[in-house]
Amino acid sequence: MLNQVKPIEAYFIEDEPYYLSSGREIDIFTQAYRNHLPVLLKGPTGCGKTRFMEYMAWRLKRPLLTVACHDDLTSGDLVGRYLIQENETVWMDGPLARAVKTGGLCYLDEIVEARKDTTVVIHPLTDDRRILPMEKKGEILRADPEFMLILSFNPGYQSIMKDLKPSTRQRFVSLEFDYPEEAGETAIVTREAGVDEETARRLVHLGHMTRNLKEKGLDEGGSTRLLINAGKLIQSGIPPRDACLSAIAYTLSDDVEMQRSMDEMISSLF
Amino acid sequence: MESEPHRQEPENDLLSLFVLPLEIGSRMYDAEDLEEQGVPGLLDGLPADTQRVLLHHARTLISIKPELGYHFLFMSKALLERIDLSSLEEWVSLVLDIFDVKGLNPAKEFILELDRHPLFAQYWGKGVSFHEVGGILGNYVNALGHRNFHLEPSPIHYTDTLTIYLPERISTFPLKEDNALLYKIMVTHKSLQADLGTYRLNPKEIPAIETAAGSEVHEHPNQTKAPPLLRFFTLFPDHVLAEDLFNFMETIRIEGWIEAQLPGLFREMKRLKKELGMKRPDSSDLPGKSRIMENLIMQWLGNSQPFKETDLGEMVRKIRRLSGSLNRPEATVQDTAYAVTKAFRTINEIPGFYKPIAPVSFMGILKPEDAERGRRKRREATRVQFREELAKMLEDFPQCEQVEIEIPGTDDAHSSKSKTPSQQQIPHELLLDGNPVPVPEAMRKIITEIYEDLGAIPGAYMAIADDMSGHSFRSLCQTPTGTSNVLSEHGKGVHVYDEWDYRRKGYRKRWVLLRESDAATGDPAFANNVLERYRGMIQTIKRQFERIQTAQRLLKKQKEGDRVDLDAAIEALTDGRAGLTPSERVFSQIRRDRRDIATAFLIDLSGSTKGWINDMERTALLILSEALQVLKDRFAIYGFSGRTRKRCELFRIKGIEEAYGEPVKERISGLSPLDYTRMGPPIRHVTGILRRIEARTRLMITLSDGKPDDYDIYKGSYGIEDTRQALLESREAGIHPFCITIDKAEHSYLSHMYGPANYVFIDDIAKLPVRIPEIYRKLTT
Ligand SMILES: Nc1ncnc2c1ncn2[C@@H]1O[C@H](COP(=O)(O)OP(=O)(O)OP(=O)(O)O)[C@@H](O)[C@H]1O
Ligand SMILES: [Mg+2]
Repeated sequence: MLNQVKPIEAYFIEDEPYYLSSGREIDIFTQAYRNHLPVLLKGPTGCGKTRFMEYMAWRLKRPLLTVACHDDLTSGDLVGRYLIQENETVWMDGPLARAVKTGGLCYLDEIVEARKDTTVVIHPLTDDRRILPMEKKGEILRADPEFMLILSFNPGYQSIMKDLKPSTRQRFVSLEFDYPEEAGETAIVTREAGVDEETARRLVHLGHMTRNLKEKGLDEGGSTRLLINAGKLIQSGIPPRDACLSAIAYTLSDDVEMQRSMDEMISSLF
Repeated sequence: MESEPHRQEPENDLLSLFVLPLEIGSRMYDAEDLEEQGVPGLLDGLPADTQRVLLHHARTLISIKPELGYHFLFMSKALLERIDLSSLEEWVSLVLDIFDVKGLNPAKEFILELDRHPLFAQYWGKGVSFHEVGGILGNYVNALGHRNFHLEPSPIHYTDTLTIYLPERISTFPLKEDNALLYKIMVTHKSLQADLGTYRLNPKEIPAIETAAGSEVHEHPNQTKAPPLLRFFTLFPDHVLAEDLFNFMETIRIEGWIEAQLPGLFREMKRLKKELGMKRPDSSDLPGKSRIMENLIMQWLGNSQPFKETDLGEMVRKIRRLSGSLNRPEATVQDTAYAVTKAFRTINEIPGFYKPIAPVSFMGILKPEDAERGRRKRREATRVQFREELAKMLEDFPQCEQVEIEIPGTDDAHSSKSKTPSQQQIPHELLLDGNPVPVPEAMRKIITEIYEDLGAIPGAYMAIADDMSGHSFRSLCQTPTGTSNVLSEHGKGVHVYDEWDYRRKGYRKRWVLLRESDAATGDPAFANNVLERYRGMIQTIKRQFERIQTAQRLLKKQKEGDRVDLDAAIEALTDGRAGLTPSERVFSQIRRDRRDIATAFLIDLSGSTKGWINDMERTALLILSEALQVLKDRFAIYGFSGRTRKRCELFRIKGIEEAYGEPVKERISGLSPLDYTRMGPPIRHVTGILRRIEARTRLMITLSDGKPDDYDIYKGSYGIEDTRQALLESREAGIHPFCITIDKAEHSYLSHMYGPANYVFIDDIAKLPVRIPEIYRKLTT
């Protein structure tokens, strides 16, 4: 784990990622970047936030440093720490510090999963000071003009323990994401899962059906990602009904009656 | 016979179930009488396990009505020959439902008649019952489109576009799956009747249709007020034939949609249609017109037998060509009407009368008048929702009194003749003073409905000047008079609160009187019975709670602890070498998370929570309280009810610091439905209570069955807006409000009051006891 620091070049995205835009998000993001404003990506799971980031990083030709947040994440994991290398102590920057120095895009995925005391390090970075205090080193890093901080956040989770504090929230430009409209989503599923268009269309139809049940028995409808997963299974030879049951129905609900309802939808479609 | 030390002999058990003397009918029975009747030996010979289950159910019935338990014991052996042990629970709850709704005698009859009782057949007869598939199909049909339907059993199968009425039981086929499939086809067909506009024949088309129908038909002048479809049928000399043709041809149109959109169902349907075809009665004796109709149906079902008479065969082919053209995605009900007109003229060439042929079960019947009523109801509901959504949009708009709202490009939207709203130009934005504002998702659905119904948004819907409240307010003067309905401002436990009046965007000062008092106690037998009956479930929930309780966390970087925190140690070491003072926090500790949560549960005791709902609420509260003992979270339970602003009642069932024990159980047992739902005042009061509690997380969970609603103006927007305001105040005080609702109707207003992710809807009351603890668990982890 010690020596394997990838050069920052490795974080540039070479090939254009496939991203289908469904609004003005590319423009707004670009302008936020130009104006040094941090961005908050809101939206349900699996609707393309991560993919959008990859695309924007490619488009803006900036390295993308992604951190998947979890509740064991410490500020050291973000900022950096000392390590011992061949009897010497060496400071190693965390992804946030690297992005700050190299003018990268730092994407903190699912920020609400991180502990509150961890997220405070981002505060001075997100107002017009744009600085990162590195207590350990006794240094204050001033962010490169190209540096940008992006958080993602799914407001749908119903745990009061996982909400974003207003003081954090109000520092950001927010982009609302949702599942792409029908034709767009069909195109995405066709392409990403490699299925034929008709199968993709039915999967998308199934997605819409489950989304109609949001808050009427399902916490969340099926995401684009789930539809792609089901499509991949189908493409690998699993019969459509089994693929949809496993990738969608059983994933979305543990309730037997609800699973049977979804089975009825699936058997109507395939 | 097995005997466990703490159990009595089964003989004695049966008598000791009853409080003697036992009153049955008008007679009193003492122990001797019961022995004489053979009560003690009623369960003899059954396996011990079976006896135990029967005893358990007997106890349940006896606790509610001893006589029911008495009859049950007598019938239990015969009953077990008809249903299996696992269905007994359901059977008992059916007895109790009948008892609740209809009283003792019908419940008694149900027990005594066993499988001769019609309800019994519905539940345990052959085939598939509505009851078995209703829940599954309810989700299914709501998933199909943007509209929601209720499903209800009924002797006639049809839809009024709000509810789909389905047979109690289907036993057409030997295979259960096929019967279930028939249910599914019925539901799909009816929901598509509503979605594809079977009842939305454009009345403006009627004169043209009349002309097309030829000279022999006339519209009665007094018919012009009737629903268009009814008017359409009366255009024909034989409207039964017209109706049969129409229903058939509409089904072909609907089937076209199914073929394109639900290919799996289409395939299954084809198979089932063939089966249905084989079951059709012989038609050779029917008059000519009916034979044509029958032949059309048979061909469509996939079992054609061509006519010997060439002229009849030619006629059938002609009509099939007409109906075939309806199988296109763009076909509308207007197209069907024209096709029916032509087909009618063709069949009408045959002399003689039309004798209605055997119906195809899944087509159901058409009820234009019911559909018209359903549509009006839905239209009004959507209008109100649209206004509410609009008001919400305007909130963010300064000077919303003067805004001019427009829909971009309204005219071309109107000219669209396409049948599905997605093909129409549903606006994605509205123009507020000429500035485009995106239409929020919730509003999109409503607009879709409006377009479907009216083809465009009527200007009146958009007019700001129109009193927003006009639709939902009842007059103020309905307030009941008399002092007993009014609390005194200086009474014991009485508090005075302001109330939000959204029309003037301000508070009405010192407007509401609320009294906090102890809830009355009820019969502890209810509680004991519940705790006994749900023992297994309580155990399971407790175990789930234990798991969050024991959720352990590795605390890193501690000053002391039982293990070395390797990361921290390395860090300290490297810091040391780098010349920094190494941290002494290099240990780790395993610790349970300290849960510092205080919750108030607010229970809606309005009159609409009668009977079964009330039972399940009480049951759920008891189970939740039991389970919460594991977590040691602090919690309070309050019930509320209101009758005008001068009398809001808040009943303390369990104070937040009060221990859970017998008195609390008795108060839960004693909860009963009262008056109305004035939600703002209790929310404000409980906010005050929670505000004074030291806790890291403070939660207020309301269990309600519907919208705020009180005797006076506290209805519609007024009640919703005051509640929303009270919740905002509560949020400002650092409290998380959350709502659990069992309102079957629309609950879009909840999102407005509580915020999008702050409520859940439980549609199955029977699931309350499981769902409430589950929701609590999810909320607090
Ligand atoms: N607009 C889009 N263009 C291209 N692909 C998309 C788009 N939206 C979704 N996808 C596909 O859906 C998958 C899931 O999207 P992604 O991983 O970006 O979701 P997410 O919003 O980051 O979800 P989560 O919140 O769970 O992390 C992607 O791998 C991609 O295949
Ligand atoms: Mg992601």
